Amino acid sequence: MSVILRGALRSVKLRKLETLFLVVIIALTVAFHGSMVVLSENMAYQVYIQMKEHFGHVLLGGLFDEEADRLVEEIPGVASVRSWSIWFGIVEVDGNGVMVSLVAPEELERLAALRIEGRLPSAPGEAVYYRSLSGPPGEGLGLGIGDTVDLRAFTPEGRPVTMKLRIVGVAEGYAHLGGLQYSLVLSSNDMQDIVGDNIIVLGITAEEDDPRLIDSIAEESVDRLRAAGYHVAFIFVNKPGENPVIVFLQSAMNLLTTLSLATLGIAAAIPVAVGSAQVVREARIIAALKAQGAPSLHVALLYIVPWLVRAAIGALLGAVLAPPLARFILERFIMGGSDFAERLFQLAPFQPYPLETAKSALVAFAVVMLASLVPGLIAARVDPLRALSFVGLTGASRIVVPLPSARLSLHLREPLSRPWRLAGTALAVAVAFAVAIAGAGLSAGLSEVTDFYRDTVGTDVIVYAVSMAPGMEVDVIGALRSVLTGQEELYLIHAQRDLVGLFGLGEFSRVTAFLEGDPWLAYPLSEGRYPEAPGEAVLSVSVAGLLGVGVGDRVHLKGTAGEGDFTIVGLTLSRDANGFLAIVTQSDYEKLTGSQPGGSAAVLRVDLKEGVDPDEYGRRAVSLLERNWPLDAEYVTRSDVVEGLESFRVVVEGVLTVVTGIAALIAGLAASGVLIADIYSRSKEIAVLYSLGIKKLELLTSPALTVLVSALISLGLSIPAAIILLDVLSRRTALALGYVEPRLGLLIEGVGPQIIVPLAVAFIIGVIAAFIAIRRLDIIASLKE
Amino acid sequence: MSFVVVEDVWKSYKVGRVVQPALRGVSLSFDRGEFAAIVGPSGSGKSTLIHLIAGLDVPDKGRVIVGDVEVSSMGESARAAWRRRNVGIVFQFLHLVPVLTALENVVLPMELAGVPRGERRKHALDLLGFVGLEGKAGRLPAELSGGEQQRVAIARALAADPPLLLADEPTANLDSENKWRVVSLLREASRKGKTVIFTTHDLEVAEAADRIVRLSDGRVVEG
Repeated sequence: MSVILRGALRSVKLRKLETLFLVVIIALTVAFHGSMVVLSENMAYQVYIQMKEHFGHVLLGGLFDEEADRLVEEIPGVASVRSWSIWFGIVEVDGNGVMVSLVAPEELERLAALRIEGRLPSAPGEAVYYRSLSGPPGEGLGLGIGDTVDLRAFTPEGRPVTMKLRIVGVAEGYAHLGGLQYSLVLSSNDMQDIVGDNIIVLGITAEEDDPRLIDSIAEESVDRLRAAGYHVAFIFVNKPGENPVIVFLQSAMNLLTTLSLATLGIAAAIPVAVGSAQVVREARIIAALKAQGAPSLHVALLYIVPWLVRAAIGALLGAVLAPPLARFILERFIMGGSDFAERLFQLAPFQPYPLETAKSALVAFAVVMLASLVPGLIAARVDPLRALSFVGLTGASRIVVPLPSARLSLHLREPLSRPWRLAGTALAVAVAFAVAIAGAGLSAGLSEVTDFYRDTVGTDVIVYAVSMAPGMEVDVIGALRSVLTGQEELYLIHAQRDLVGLFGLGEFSRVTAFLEGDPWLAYPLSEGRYPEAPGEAVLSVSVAGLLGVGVGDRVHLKGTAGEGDFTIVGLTLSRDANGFLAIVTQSDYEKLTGSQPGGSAAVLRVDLKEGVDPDEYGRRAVSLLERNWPLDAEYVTRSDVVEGLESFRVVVEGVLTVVTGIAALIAGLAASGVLIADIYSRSKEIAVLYSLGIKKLELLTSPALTVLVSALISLGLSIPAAIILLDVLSRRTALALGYVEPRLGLLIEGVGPQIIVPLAVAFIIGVIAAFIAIRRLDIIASLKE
Repeated sequence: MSFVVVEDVWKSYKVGRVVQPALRGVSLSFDRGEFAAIVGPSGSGKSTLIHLIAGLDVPDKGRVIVGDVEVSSMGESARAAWRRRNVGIVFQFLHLVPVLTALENVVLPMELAGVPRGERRKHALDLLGFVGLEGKAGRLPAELSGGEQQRVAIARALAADPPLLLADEPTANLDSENKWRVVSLLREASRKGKTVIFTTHDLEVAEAADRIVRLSDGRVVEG
């Protein structure tokens, strides 16, 4: 046995080509997947740490006072409670009102990654303009030091406040303050002037980073505050590795981690193809070993162990490479600037997550282990008598179809003559195809959503109105109704509120209740009806597909203020909030959100009559609302929505193209490894053909056809694989992209252009490698062997 | 005038870091229709000489001329094209193309040499008949015995009707019956006007040739 193992280990050293290719491919796949996972984990970790630094573990929004602070502080396990105020106002920029959050200077100081020019406001009338880099790129509000800006706000009690502010500093960072992209940092005096003694936010830090402790503190604090009569409007729980922002981020990152995980499958190609070819070539040696009494297990190990050793080396190398690669991508491509990265890394040092990379390495190792069973089993089953009586070159064709030309027969039969070589290349290309096709399917799904909003559910104008004074009664529905002019074809006024974890998936989701008008305008049903009685709900087709529920089924919905079981009475085609959408009755809306629908915010959607300009309509509506009511109003047109979706799809498509390219490159390497090893194993045959007068360039026909035949086979294999992959991918990215139900139609749509990339890359790399191998082949040495 | 001329040919190979001389100043000539055997111990340079005459390789120094063509000065592609029409080669290790039938193996050199389509099949069947395998034309090499494979190899070597037939240890792996069958086929080819040069370890087989060239340590010691 030890001799067999020694022989197996020596094979790793002697068969340099096989060793090199497998080690490189495993290292690449592990480094690719490992780095994506480490990247994802680090981003999640940094979000957690930034939030912990900013507000702690539990953030509660509402209208509180000193007593509320004390109530929460007494909860067992609470280390500290911070209370502060974030408020909202409107600044005039180029004649448009833009909503910004208003914070005190100490809030800015608490941010982890921050770049600041100028100074903090120290006197009334001074402000720092802050812009979150996590929002869409652009010039922002265009404010600089020395500029002045008009601010309009309302106190919580509804008293209007106007201020002329001079910008004394400009700052940018990754955090959102109050959920908005732009903020003004006011002096403490000015903040006091607007918010008074009201506490808007309570930030609770637990004694330990224990998720169970954090959850229990969140529940207990909400219960205590509600029991004492406080209104809790917003709850955000920040747990290590899990909060809604992290869940969303990881869902987006799953685009990379899922597809890169699939590329680990390419590692199987080399052992299957090259290992099996080696066994066939060495059948007589195996027969001799068996004739001397070697048990089948030992013979199998001789052809399994070398692959395991190579896989271990490659996996180790990939695992070592993954963390620095992840750090490089994070610093250079995600953080955008190394000074920011440095500051963030000071607060949340880069974590190599060795366990995660070890998992990638183990998966790759397991793939190779399974693949190496193929040559191992073939070796164990070699019949000594048959092998010893065999003469001539190996690789007979199984099917002999007469063809008009011997040359044609040679080139066409040769690719089919070695099934394992074909299987190996087909496997590698199939994985690349599956990644490409699944990616294309996802992209086609997102494209459908864009078209859907352009043609079906999109409304010409959407006007959002939010009360600027939560302490004051505002008839938001009446305000929106006052905007209607008769230029509308159809309209709908409805309430909507974004909650955390409505479907129990840790996601941001939207709950909606209709107030007035035609709901079909924005929420057409694919089946069923709208909710009429408490306990009834309509879900989006998308989220129903993800949860595997339909009309008649029951779901449990958990809001900020309450929860309950709901019967699904209909499914809507709308994909608002990525499809994480529930439509309920007005009473259930109040039960789930704790807010009266339309009491402080509502949405007006309109389809306009022919010839009415949506932008003009929107501008007029916003101006009317902000002039006559204590409301912040914004509008978007159908083209804004479609444009946003389109740019999002382009970004996703870009990411998918990069991933597909990497998968194709690895598949090309694997295919070329198989072809090169095959050329060296067929060196005698090639030398004979050369001696008959076939040019070396013509000898490339067979490897080129092998790749093409493999591609055809792999295309067949890759379609079911792509459906499975798209399903997994779609589920794992649902929170960030919306669930795209896998359909053959979607895949077929993407098959055309998407298969060309992996095929072209695999073909070009494979043929170039084969060409080099044939050019370098020592014909004389081959004939002498 | 000699048909094959080998003029002061030197050839060495690099094995690892060691340079191994294979031929050291070999000069020989063979007439048209000659049936010659090259003998010598392992490593004496027999196969190297065959490869150089076939244009599979070029000498480090010296010239190889076949007919009126200086093969040793031609480029790789030109040698490949020249070989198609002028040389037939038989190898020791039954190097038939495994995915082609016996008939197709024989037809292939004719296709490469541009023999008209209509003539190929008939000529190939004639050749298989000549080597006694007319009934096994549709068999793959794996379905033939060692002796049968070698006879197909001879038919293949003769397929393009080359004036020069080279054979490197053509009888080495054959039993006695097949061995003499192959020798007689080579002799028959020579009778038909082909220059036949073969290498062998087997002195009994060499005795069947009209001329014996003895090589030792890369030099001609007899013949």
